[in-house]
Amino acid sequence: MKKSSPILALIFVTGISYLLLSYNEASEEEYNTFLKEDIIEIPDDVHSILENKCFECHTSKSKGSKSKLKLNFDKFTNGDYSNGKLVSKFGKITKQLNNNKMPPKKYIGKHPEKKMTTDETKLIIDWATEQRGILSGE
Amino acid sequence: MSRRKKTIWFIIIAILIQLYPVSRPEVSQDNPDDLMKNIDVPADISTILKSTCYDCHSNETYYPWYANIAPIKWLVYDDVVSAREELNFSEWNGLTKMDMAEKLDDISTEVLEEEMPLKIYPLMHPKAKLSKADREAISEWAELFAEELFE
Repeated sequence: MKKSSPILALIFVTGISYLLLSYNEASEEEYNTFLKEDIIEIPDDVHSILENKCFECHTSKSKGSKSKLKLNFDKFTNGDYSNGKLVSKFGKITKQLNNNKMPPKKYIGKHPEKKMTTDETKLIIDWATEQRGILSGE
Repeated sequence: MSRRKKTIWFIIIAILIQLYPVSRPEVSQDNPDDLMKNIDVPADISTILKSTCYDCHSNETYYPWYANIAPIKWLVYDDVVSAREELNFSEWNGLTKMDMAEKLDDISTEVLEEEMPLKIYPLMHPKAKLSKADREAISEWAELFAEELFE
């Protein structure tokens, strides 16, 4: 099969790179932190859900860099996120929760207590939708 | 099997896979909702966007000859379809401000984190290799743009 090996190799390499590129590592972190409510108003019930189910990965103190880069709740309240950024983050929170993407399945597998109940999910979605509306004026 | 026979088989298979029908995402140069037609994008930024993003993230895709040959075309066509679904600069002005904010957020993060362009792209398009400074410039532009949307 000597003659065909370059093409086979090409198919193989493209296939492997495709798999590698689409693979996303799920991260788990063991840190918690608290939010100061300066800029974005976070009601107590929302805050306690975020604290229990989200902060471990989504604050400045979280270990993994990817999850906190995509969403960092500390930046909601310390002024680091511009209004444009906040509109985006609230929109993404809503979408991720609506699509059952968060908390990640892999993470819930190891930490079943982190699973969000339907009521909790709804509360967060309603809050995020409302905040986004206020910020964007739409 | 003799070497000659194997070669013939290989050629037959190479020709046969060309027959497998896949539709090529269409190309259009006339896009009134295009980002560049509606927004004043700084020259250095628009150069980078055009040379490194527009092949997949717009309707102005340029297909090099090898991109039209199976099995490469299967990957390329598929990538272009999903890239346009995710972000299509040719249809920018059809987005709501809220969606623009999310796209800009993604642009900023993914370019800075080297998630975009896909690693395979600069292998075939050396001009699309972004320096750290290029990535920072794109990210900064996207952040400022998003901020201005809600001033």
